[in-house]
Amino acid sequence: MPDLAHSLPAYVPWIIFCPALAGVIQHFFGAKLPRKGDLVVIAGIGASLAMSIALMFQWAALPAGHYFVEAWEWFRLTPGADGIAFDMAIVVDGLTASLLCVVTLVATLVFVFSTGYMKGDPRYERFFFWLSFFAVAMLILTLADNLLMLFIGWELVGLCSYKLIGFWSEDLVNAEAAKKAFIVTRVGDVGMLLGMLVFYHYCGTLSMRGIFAGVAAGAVPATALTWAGIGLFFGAVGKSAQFPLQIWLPDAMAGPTPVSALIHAATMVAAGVYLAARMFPVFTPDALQYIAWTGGITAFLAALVAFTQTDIKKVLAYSTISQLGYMMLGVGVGAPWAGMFHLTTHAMFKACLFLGSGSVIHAMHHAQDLKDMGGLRKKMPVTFYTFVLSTLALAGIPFTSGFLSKDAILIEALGNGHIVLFSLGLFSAFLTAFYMARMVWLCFFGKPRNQEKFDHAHESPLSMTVPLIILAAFAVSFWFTLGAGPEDEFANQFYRTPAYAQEFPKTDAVAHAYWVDGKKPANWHASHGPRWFQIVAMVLGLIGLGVGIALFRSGRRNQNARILPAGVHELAAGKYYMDEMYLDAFVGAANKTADGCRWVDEKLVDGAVNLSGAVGLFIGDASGDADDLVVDGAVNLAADAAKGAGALVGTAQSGRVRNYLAMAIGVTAVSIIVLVFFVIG
Amino acid sequence: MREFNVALAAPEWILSATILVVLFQDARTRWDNKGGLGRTTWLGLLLATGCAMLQGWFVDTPATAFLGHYGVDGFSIVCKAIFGATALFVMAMADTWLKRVDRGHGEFRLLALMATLGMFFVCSVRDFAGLFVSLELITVSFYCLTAFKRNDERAIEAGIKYVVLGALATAFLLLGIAFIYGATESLWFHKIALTEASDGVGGNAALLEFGLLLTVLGLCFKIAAVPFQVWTPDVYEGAASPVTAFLSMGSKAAGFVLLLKVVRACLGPDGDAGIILATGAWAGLFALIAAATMLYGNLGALWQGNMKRLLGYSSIGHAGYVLMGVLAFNEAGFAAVVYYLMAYLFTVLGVFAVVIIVNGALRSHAITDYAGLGRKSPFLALVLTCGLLSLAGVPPMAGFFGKFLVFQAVVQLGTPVAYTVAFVGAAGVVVSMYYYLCVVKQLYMVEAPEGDTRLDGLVVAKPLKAVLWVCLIGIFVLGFLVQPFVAMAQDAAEALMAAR
Amino acid sequence: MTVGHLITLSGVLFTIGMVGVMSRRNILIVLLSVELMLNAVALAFVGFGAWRGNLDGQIMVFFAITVAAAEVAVGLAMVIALFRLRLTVDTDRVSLLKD
Repeated sequence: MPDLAHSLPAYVPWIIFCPALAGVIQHFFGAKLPRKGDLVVIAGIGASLAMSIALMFQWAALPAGHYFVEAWEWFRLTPGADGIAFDMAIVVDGLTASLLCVVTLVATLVFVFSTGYMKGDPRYERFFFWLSFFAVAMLILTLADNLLMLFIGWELVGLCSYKLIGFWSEDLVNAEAAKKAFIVTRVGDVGMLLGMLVFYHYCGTLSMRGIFAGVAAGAVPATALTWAGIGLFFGAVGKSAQFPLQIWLPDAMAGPTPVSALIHAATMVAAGVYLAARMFPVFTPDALQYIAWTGGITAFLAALVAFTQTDIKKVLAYSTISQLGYMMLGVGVGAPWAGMFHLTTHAMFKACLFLGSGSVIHAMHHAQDLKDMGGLRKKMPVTFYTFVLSTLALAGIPFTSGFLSKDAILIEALGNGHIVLFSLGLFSAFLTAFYMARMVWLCFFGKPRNQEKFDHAHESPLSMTVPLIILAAFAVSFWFTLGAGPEDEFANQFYRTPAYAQEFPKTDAVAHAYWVDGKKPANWHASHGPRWFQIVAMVLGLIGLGVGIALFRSGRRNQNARILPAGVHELAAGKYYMDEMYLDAFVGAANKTADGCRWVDEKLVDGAVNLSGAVGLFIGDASGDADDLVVDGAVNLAADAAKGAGALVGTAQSGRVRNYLAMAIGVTAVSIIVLVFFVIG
Repeated sequence: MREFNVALAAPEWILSATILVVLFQDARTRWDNKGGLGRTTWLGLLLATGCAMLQGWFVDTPATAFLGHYGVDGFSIVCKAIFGATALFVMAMADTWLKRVDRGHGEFRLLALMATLGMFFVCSVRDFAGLFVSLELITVSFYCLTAFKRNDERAIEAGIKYVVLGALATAFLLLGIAFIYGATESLWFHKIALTEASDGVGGNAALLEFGLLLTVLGLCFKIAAVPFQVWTPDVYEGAASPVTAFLSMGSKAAGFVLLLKVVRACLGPDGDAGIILATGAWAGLFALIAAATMLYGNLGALWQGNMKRLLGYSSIGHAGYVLMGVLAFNEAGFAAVVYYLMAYLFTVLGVFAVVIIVNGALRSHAITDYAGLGRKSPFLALVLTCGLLSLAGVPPMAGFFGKFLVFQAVVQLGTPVAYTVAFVGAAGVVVSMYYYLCVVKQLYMVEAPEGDTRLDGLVVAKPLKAVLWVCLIGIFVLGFLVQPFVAMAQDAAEALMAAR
Repeated sequence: MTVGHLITLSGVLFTIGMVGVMSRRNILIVLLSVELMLNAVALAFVGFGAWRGNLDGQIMVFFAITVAAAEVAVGLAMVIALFRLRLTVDTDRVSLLKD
C-alpha cells in the first residue's frame, strides 16, 4: 500500500488559532477598540479564509487519494500494556479542505454583513465575540480526526448556537427557543456518544483511522456495527434537524438573521451531513437505508410545511430542513460525495437567501412577515437580483450550482435502485421551486401590502450588499465546473476519495461499491445517468416556478392563500403536530413518573408504615400497654388507610421522616429478599 | 507491618493538633474576636494537606502504620489531596458566611476540622473498625453542622432528618460489618478475598454476601444513593450553604472512597472479579442502584424552583453516575471514579461558592431571584454557568470528561446490564440539561425586576474570589488538559488494586 | 446456647427496633428504637466473636456503644432545640422541607 499520508503544513493549526485569538482580544478589549473591535474579528476569520484557500490548493496539488494528517498525544488511558492513546489529530483531505473554505468564506461574509445589520445594537461587541467563538468551534469540528475532538467541537457549536439564538433575550420566546434547540440537539448527541463508545469498545480507539481499520478488519460484529452507526447518525439527526428531531430549527430563527445564515443554514446544521459523509465507511447497508429514508422523508415533509409559512425566515428554515434532507438522502443512497457537493452549493445560495432576507428585514425595520412586503424589487434592486439568482439555484434551474448538486443526488438515488426515494426527491424538487416562487413573488413583486413600511424601505448599505453579491456569484454553476469534464468534476475532485478510503478495503458488512476510486457499481444504469432524467428534473423545476408565479401574479392571492389540498394544509400548518406530540409524550411521561412515585409512596410506603403500625400495635398489645395503643393505633391506622385510599396527595418527597425511613427500610428489605432468594438460595 | 510507624500519620496528627489548638483558642478569646481561629484553621488545613501531598514524594508507598491498621498508598494520597482541597475551599466559603453569623465560629470550625480529620482517616483505613469509626466521625460532625443554625426551624428539621436516617443507615452498616466479621473471623478488608479464596462459594458465602449487601446499602447513605437518598434535598435545603457544599463534596466522596475499598476487598488477588462479584448478581444490584439513583435525582430536579434543592437532586443524580464507575469492578472503572470526584470537586464547589455569595445578597434560594445576574455580575454568572454546564456534562468541561471516563468504563464491559445502565445514564444526561439550562436562562436571558437592587455591587472576599478562579480554571483544565489528572487517577486506581 | 440463638435474638431485637423506627412518630422513641437496633448489632458482634473465638468482635462492641452514644446525644440535643422552636416532638409535624 502506498503511503498516502503527508505531514501537516505548519500553518494549519493557525486556522483555528487566528479566530480564537481575535475572539480573546475582542472579549477583553472589544468595548475599548475602535468600531467595538469588529475589525479584529473580521481580520481573524479573514486570515483563516486565506489559509484555508492556500491549504485547498496545497491539497489539490497532491496526487489523488493523498491527504495531510498530524496527531499530538492528548492523554492516555492505561489499563492494558501500553494503554490507549487519545490524540488531538487533524486530517486534511478533500472533505476537510472544501468545508474549511465554505465555513471560512461564509463566516467572513456574514461577519461583514453583521457590521451593517447589527449596527447600533447595545451588545454589538458581545455579538462579535460569540460569532468568533462559533467560528473556532466549527473549525475544530471540521479539522478533527478524532471523534472525541469532533464531539467537543460539536457541543461547542451547539453552545454558541444557544447563546446566539437567545441573543435578543429581551423576548422570553427567544430564550425558550434557544433552550429548545440545545436540548433537542442534545437528544441526538446522546445517541452519538453511545455510538462512539460502542466503536471504542470494539476498536479500542476513537481516532477515525483506528475505527476504519477496526471495521475493515471485522472487529465489530455486524449488528453492533449497524446500531453504532445509527447511534452516530442520530447525532447528525439532531444537529441537522432531520426527522424526527427537526422541530428545533424553525424556532431557532428567533436569533439575529446573520446567525441564521451562518449557523442555521450554511455551517452548523450541515455538520451532521459532514459527520455522516466522513464516517461513511462504517455504515452498514441497513444503517444506510435508515439514513436514506430519514433524508427523503425530511426533504418531503419540510417542503410541504414551507407552503404554509408566512414568515420569510420560517419559509427559509423549512427549506433548509428540506435541503439537509436531500444531503442525507445522498449519503444514504451511497453517494456521500453528492451530499457533500450539495452541502457546498447549498451553503452559498442559502446563506445568500438568508442574508437577503436579512437585508429585507433590515429595510422593513424588523418586520419579517410576508404580509408587510410586496413590490420591493424596485426599492432594493441588489437584494432582489441576488435573491432571485439564489432562488433559481435552490430550485435547481440549469446553469446554477443547485442544478448540478441536486441532480447528482437524485441520479445516485435512481442509479442505486431507490425508486421510491428518487420519486420523493423529484417531487420535493418540484415543491421547492413552487414555494420559492411563491415567496419571491409575495416579497418582491406585486403591490406593496403595507404602504407605510414600503415607503420607508431602502436598499441596504454596501457592507450588506457586497456579501450578497459575492455569495450570489457562487450560485452560478460556472465555479463548480471549472476544469471542464463531467458535470460532477468538482465533486469528483474533492469528495470521491476521502482520507483512509483506499487504505481500508471494504468488508462485506459495509460494501459500498464506488466509494473508493470513484468507480461505479455494477448495477449503474449509464455512465452519467440517463439524459431523460435531467430534462425531467429541469422541466419540473421550471413548471414549479411557473405554477408559483401563475398562481400569485394576478394579485388575487396573498400570503394566506392555501395552496395545498385542505387536509394536507392543516397537517403541514400544524407542523404535523410533532411539537405537541413530544410535549404530550415527555411531559406526560414526566407526570406519569411523578404519579408513579406518588403511587409508590401512597400504596407501598404508606402500606409499609401501616403494616409496621399494625405490627407495632400487635407487639404493643402483647406488652400489655393495650388500651392506649389499640385506640391510638386504630385511629392512626384508619386515618392512614383513608389517606392511602384517598386522592393522590403528597409525593415521594413528602417531607416526613417516617415515610423516608419506611422507604429506606422497604427498599433494603426488598434487596435482602432478592439477595436471599436469587443469589444465596 | 507489625510496627507503629507513628510519623506516617503526620497529616492526621497535624489536624488533631489544630483541633486542640482551636478548642483552647476558642475558650480563651472573646466572642467578638474570633479572627485568630480562622487563621489557625487555615494554617492547620494547609499544613495537613501539604503534608499529605508531600508523602507522595517522600514516603516509600505503600506503607503502613499502627500495626497495619493505617496505610498510605497512591490512592490514599490522591484522596487526601481531594479532601484537603475540599476543606480549604469550604473554609473560604465559611469565612464569608460566618460574617453573617455572630456566634459559634469556634464550634463551626472545630466541627469542620473534625469532619476533615474523619475524611483523612477514611483514605487510610484498612479494616472495618477503622471504616466504622472514621465514617462516624464524619457523620456525627455533619449532624451538628447541619443543625448549626439552631434557631432556624429548617436547619433543625434538616438536622433531625439527617440524624434519624443516618442512624438507621449506621445500624445497617454495623449489622453488615457484624456479618462480614462472622464470615471472615476478622475485621480486615483483605480477609474478605482470602475467605472467598479458601472457602469457595460455599461455607460462609451466604453470611458474607448478606453482610456485604448491608454494608453497601449503609454506605449508600453517605453517597446519597437509593435507597438512602431521600434525605438529600431536604438536608441540602435546610443546612447552611457552606455545610451543604461540604456535604455534597466531602461527605459523598468519603462514602465513595470507602465503597471503593470494600469493593476492592471483594475482588480476587489479580484484580479479577473475585468469586462473589463474578456472579453477575452484584453487578446487577449496583446497576439497579445506579439506574434508580440517576432517575430519582434527575427526574426530581426537573421542576425545582429552589437552587439548593435542585443541587440536592443533582447531587443524587451524580452519585448514580459515579456508581456506574464502581460497578465496572475493574481498574478503569475505579480510575474513572477518582477522576469524576476530582472534576466534581471543582465543579460543584464553584457552583456553591456563587450560591453563597448570591444568597448573602438575596437571602433567598429561589432560582427566579437569580435573574439578571449575568448583567450585574458577569464573573459570578460565568462561574455558575460553567459549573452548571460542567455538571450537565458539556465538553470541554471537567464534568464531560468525568462522564466520558465513566461511560467508557461501563460500555467497555459489553454486557447487557452495562449497556442498559449506560443508556439510562445517557437519558439522564439529556434530562439534566433541561434543569441546568433553566438556571442559565435566568442568569442571562431574564432581567431582574425593576427596582430590585439586591444583586447590585456584589462584593466578593479575596479568598472566595481565589476559590472561584481556581474552580473556573479547574473546570476547564480537567476538561481539556487532562493528561496529568488522568494519569493521577490511574495511579490511584492502580495503587488501590495493588493494596493488600 | 449456641451462636444461632444469639444471632436470632439479635435479629429479633433489630427487627423490633426497625418497626419502632418506622411506626412511631415521637422522635424520642425513634431514637430509642435506633439505639435498640445498634445494641442488637452489638449482641451479634459478641455472638460472632464467641463463635470465632477472637476478641475483634468484642472490641467492635465498644466502638458501637461509643458511636451510638454520640449519635443519640446529638439527636437529643436537636430534639431539645426542636421542642424549643416548635413545641412538638412529632415527626409528622416536622415537614417544612419538602417538594
